[in-house]
Amino acid sequence: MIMSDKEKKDKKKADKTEETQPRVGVYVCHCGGNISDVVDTSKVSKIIGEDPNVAVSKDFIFMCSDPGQKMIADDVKANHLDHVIVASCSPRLHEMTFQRVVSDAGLNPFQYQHVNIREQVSWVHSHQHEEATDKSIRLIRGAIASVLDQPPLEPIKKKMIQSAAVIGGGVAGMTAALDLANRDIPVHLIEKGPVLGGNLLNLDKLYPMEIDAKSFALNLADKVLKNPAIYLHLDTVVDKTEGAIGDFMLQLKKTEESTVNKENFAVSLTEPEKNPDYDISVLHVGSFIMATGHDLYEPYEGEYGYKKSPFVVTLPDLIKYLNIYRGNTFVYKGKEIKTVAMIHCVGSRQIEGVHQPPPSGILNTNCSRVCCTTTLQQANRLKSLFPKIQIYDLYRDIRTYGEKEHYYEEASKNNVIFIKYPDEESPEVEINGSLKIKTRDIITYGLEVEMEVDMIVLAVGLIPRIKPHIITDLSLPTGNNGFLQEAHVKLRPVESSVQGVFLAGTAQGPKDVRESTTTASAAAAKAGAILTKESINLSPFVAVVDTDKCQGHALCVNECEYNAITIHDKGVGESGVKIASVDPSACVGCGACVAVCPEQAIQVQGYDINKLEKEISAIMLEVKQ
Amino acid sequence: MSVLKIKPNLIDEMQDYGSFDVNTCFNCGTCTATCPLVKEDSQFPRMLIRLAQLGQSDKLIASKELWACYYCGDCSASCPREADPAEFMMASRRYAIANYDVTGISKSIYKNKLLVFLYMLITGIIITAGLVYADTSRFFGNTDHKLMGGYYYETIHYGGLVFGSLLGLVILLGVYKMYRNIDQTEPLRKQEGLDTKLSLSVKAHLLWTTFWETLINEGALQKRFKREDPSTQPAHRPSRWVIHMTIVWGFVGLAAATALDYLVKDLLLNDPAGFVPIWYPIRLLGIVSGLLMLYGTSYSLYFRWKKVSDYYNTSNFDDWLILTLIWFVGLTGFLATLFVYLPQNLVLGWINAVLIIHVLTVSWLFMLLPFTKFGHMMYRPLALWIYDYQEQKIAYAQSHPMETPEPSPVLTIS
Repeated sequence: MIMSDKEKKDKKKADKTEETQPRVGVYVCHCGGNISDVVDTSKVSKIIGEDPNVAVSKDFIFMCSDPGQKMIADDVKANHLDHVIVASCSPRLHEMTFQRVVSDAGLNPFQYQHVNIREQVSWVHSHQHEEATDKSIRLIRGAIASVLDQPPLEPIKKKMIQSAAVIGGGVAGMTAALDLANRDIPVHLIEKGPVLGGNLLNLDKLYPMEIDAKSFALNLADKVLKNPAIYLHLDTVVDKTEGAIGDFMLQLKKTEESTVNKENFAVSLTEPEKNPDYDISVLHVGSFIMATGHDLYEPYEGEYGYKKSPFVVTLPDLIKYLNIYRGNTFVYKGKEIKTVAMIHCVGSRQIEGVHQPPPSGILNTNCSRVCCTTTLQQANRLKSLFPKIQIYDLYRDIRTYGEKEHYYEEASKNNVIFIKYPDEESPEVEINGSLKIKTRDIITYGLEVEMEVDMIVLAVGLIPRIKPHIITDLSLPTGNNGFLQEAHVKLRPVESSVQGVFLAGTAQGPKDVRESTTTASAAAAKAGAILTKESINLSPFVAVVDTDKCQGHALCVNECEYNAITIHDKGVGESGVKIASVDPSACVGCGACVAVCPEQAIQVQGYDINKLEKEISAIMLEVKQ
Repeated sequence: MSVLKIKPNLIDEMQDYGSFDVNTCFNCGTCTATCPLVKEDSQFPRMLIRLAQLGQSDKLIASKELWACYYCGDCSASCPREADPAEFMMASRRYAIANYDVTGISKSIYKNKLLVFLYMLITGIIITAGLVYADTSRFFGNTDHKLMGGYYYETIHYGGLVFGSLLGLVILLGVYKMYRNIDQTEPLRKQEGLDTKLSLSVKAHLLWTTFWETLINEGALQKRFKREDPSTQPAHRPSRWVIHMTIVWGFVGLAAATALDYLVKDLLLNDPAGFVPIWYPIRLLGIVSGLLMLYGTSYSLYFRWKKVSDYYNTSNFDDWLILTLIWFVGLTGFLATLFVYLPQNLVLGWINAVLIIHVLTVSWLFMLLPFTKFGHMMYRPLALWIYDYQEQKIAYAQSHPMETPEPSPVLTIS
C-alpha cells in the first residue's frame, strides 16, 4: 500500500517537472482576536512565508468560516499546493473540517496538518506576546517539517462479517439481540445459565409502571424465542476470543452444570430444529455486545450481623421471600416480624479505612444507583402487606432520583422512620437474643439512638462480575470500580475502546431496568450501524512492520495490549525465519510496540521516528528576528 | 451521652394536639433557614421535628424553642413538603402543657375535645348550684355581705379560695415538673460551663437579675415579641403584639384591681359588698383593664374567624375556647359594673344572668388554665427564666475562669 502511494507521489512530482520544491500552504487564523490579540499573526505568516518550501502563507480572521475554507480550496488549485497547514484552534475542533476542505480540493486528507496556536499558545501565554509569536512560528515550522515527510495515506478497508453476538441473556442482552434481529442482522445470544432473564428474575415490580419483573422477562424471552434471526446458546460461555472488528472469533463452551430445566419457559429455545446452529462451537461475528450484567455484593460474615443471625437478610433475599410468601402477618423463620430496619449502602459507596472491600479487593466506592429506590419500594410493599409493621430506614443519602421520588413520598407517608447515619460510622448491630441497632442521627448533631428490631434488611450494592475470559482476551478496559469502561462517557457512550465491541446494561455500571434497556438499544443501534455495511474504513494510523529489518524477537507481541501483532514464518523459501505482522483492524496505533523494538523495525504509519525527529529539530531552531 | 431509645409513635400521639403532617418532613431545614429566631444554640422547627420523629418526648418538651416561638408562620409558608412546621410548634407546646399537667385532665381534653364541655358542664353545675342555693350565712353568720342579685359574697370568696388553692397546687406541680425536666434532660449540645458550681451569693444574684429581666422584658413589655415577631400586618390592623399586649395588660390590670379591691374593701373597710362611686380608682382600673381585654380578644377572634393573614389561618379548638371565655369574662364584667351604676329597676332581671355567666366564665377560664394553651402564661416565662439563668451562668463561668471540670468531648460529625 505504501509502495504504491510512493509511486503515485513520484509520478505526481514527475508531472510537475519544473518544480523541485514542495509547495506547502500555511494559513494562520486570528480566531477573531482569540489568537491575534496575543500572537502577531501577520508577523508569523510573513516569517513562515520566507521558508522556501512554503508556496503560500496567509493570515485570516476566521479560517473555519466559508471564505476561509474557500481561500484554501482556491489556493490548492491555483498554486498547485501539495500540503496544507492551518494554525488555529485545537485539532479536536476543526482538524476534520480542513481535512475535508483539502480532500475536496483534490489532495490526500492526510497531507493536511493542524497546528494548535490557540489552546496551546494564545490562551496559555496571554501576557507574553513575543514569546507566543515565537512559539507559534516554531510549532508551524515543526508541522512543515513533519508534513513534508508525510506520505499520502488511505483508510484501511476491512470486510465485515454481517452477524453479531450478544453475550448475556438478561434484560439488556435480550433487548439488544431483539433490536439487532429486527434489523435483519443474525444474532447469537449467548447465556451462561439455563434460562433467559438474568437478574430480572429476582426482582419484584419494575419502575415506573410497576410491571411484574418476571412477566416482563417472560414477555421479552417469548419475543426472543419467536425471532428467527436470533440463535440462542444457553448453558454456554465464551471460552476464547480473538480477532478484531469485522471478524471476531468466539469459541463457545457448554457449562459443566448444563441442566436445562424442562419446565422452564426458555426450554423450547434449545430444541435443535429451531436452532440448527446450536452445536456450533466457534462463531465468527463482525461485532458483539457485552451484556454480562452484575453480581450482587455479598456481605461478609458479621457485617451488620450477617450470617450471625438468621434475621439479618439482604434486600434481594427479602424480595425473593416476599415474592412467594402468602400470609396476613409477616412470619420469617418461625418468628413474627413486627419491626424491620433497612440499612442502605451495604457494599456501596465504600470508604477506604472505614469499610472492608469485597473479595475482589477493590473498594466499591460508587453508588449502586438502584438500591435506594428498591429499598423504599420494598418498605412500602411491607407496609401495604402488613400495615402494622414498623420500619426504620438507616441511610447515608436517599437517592431516589427523578420520578422515583414518589417511593420516598410514599414511604414517609407510611411513617417509615428515616435515620441518616454518618458516612464514617456505620450502624452497629448487637445480636443478643434480639437484634439491636445503635447509630448516630446526623440531623440532631449526632444523638446516639438505638432501636430494637426483629429483622435487618441490607440493601446490598451492585458489583462487577469476576472478569470473564472475554474481557482479558480482548483487553477490554475496566474502570476503577471494575465495571467495563466506555471509550468516552459523553462522546462515545456504550462503545468499548476496542472497536466493534459495545456495552449494554449493568456490565458497564449499576443501572435500573429502564437504563439497561436504553443502553442495550443504543449499543444495538451502534453495532447495527457498522454491521449493515459490507466493509468498514479503519484509521490508517496503525503499526507497520519493516519486513527487512524485523528479526522476529517478538518483544512487540508481548507489549501489544490489543493482541494485534502475531509472529509467523517469513514466507516461502525462508523457513525458520520468523517475522511479526500487524492486524490493522485490531491495532489502535498506540505505539507501544515501537518503543520496544530493538531494530526499529515497527513504526506507526504517519508517525515514524524520522518524521518526529525532523519535526522536533525544526521546532528547536531559533527564530531569526 | 446516653443512648436514646427510639419511640416510633410519638408523632402519631402528637396528632391529638394539632393538625400538622410532619411525616412528610425530610429534614431539609428550610424552616430553620427561614426562622427569624434561629441562633447558633437554638435551631427552630427542624430540631424539634426531628426529636419528635425519633420519639424523644423528654428532650422535646424540655426545649427552649418550644416557648420562644411566636407562630409567625414563616416556616410553614416556606416548607417545601407542606408539613406545617409552625402548627407542629404549637402542637408541641400543647403537648408539653399536657405532659406537665399531673392530673391527666389536659391529655384527655386534647384526646377527646368533647370532654372539655363535660368538664365545663360539671364544674358549671357545681358553681351555679353553689351560687344559687348555698346559704353560706349558716357557716359564717354574716348575712350583710350579699352582692348584687342576692348572691352571697362568702360563697364566691371562699369558693374561689378553695378552687384557687386546688388550681394553684396543680400549677405548682406542673411548674415543678417542667423545672425537673429541663434540669435533668441532657442538653442537645454540651454547654461548657453549665456544670460550674457557683457560690450561693452569685447564684442568688444571677437568679434575681434574670428573674427581673424575664418579668420586665418577657412579661411586662414583651420586648422580644415586638422585636422578633416577623409577621407583618397592614397599618389599619392592630399588630399581633398590640393585641397580645392588651389582653395581657387587661388581665394584669383586672388581677390587680381584684387584689386591691379585696385589700381595701374587705380587709381595711371590712365591707366587701359596699358601694363605691365610679371614680373610685380601683374601680376605674378595673373598667379600663376590662375594656383593654375586650379590645384585644375581639380583634383576635375576628381575625381568626376571617383568617386575615397566615398567622390567623390555623386555630385549634383551645384557641377559640380560651379567647371566647376571656371575651365573655370581659363583656359580663363590664356589664355587671355598668349595672351597678344604672337605676336598679331597669336592670333587675338581667343582673342574675350576667353575674352567673361572669362567675362561670371566670371560673372556667382559671380551671382551664393549667390544662390548655392558656397555660403558656406561666410555663413560658418560667422556662425562659430558667434558660436565661443557664445562659447567664455559662457567661459568668466563662468570664470568671476557675477550676472548671474537664470539658466533655464535643461531638462532631463531618
